[in-house]
Amino acid sequence: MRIAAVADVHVGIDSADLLRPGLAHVSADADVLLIAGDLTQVGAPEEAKVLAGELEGVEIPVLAVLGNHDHHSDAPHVVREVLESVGVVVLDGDTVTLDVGGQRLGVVGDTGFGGGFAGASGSAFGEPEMKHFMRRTERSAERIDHGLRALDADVRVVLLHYSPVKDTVVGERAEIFPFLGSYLLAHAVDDVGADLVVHGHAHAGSEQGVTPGGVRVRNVALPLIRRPYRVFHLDE
Amino acid sequence: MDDAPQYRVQQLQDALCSDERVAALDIHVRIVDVDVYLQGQVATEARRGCAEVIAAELLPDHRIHNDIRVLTVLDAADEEHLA
Repeated sequence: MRIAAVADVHVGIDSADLLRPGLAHVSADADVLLIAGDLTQVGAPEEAKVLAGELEGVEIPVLAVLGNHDHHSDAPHVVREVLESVGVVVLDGDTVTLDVGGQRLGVVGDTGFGGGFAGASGSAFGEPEMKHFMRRTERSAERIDHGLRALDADVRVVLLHYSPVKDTVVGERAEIFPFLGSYLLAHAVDDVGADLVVHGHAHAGSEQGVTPGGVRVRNVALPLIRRPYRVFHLDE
Repeated sequence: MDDAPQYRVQQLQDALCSDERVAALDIHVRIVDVDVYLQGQVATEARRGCAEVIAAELLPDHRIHNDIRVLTVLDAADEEHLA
């Protein structure tokens, strides 16, 4: 099973034809393409239309989650609609199962959120704003947990924008780690089990990590991998 | 703007984030006297140019050194086997 993945493509109205050449061979290289958030620069519908055009020639299923940039214009639903109109499956706490060469690939997708990592994490304590912040992450973790439990698949992949582990944000300034991910996301993955987690968001992070429970984590942010996508070969 | 350099750095970083011509959260700003150094990378040449314009607008009495690079992506993907 071949899974292509990239994140943080940050498509703007000035980005036409930047991604398309790099995606020319993805349909031959992989069985599915995952895009782990920050699809657009500011979440404008016009940017989503540019991305939709860039993906026109891709013949394999494309699954995506939104990132923080995709929320900036307060119209994430429009970004989602534009991409869904060209066949992209945008996951927001949802799951999808695909038949890939006789095997079932199950994907749980959610943006995730921040909070920090074990030993240095925020807590839902104190002011309402802090509780609201952390509960957003807790909800994401719950959705990952529920999604993984619901999947009936041979191979299970979790698609996030924010990181579930510190490993893959190392390289960024430590002061901003709480804005890059949360251990709660990894905890949810480990409670149920998965074969791979892919995410983005940490442009200056590290590519490889593992959850405390032993699930591989890969940061596929485009500014980090500097390739149009990375292909992961996974078998049951 | 006559704030201390530390505040000017953050004000410019905020502007580079909130101004939709660039909308980048990870451009590093250093200010030494009247010299402003912009470092990091963006996806397009247009955003690189706009970052410099925004810095000049916010800090008109400074010299802007635009060291931002435009992201270059290799043609070929690579792969990893996870057993």
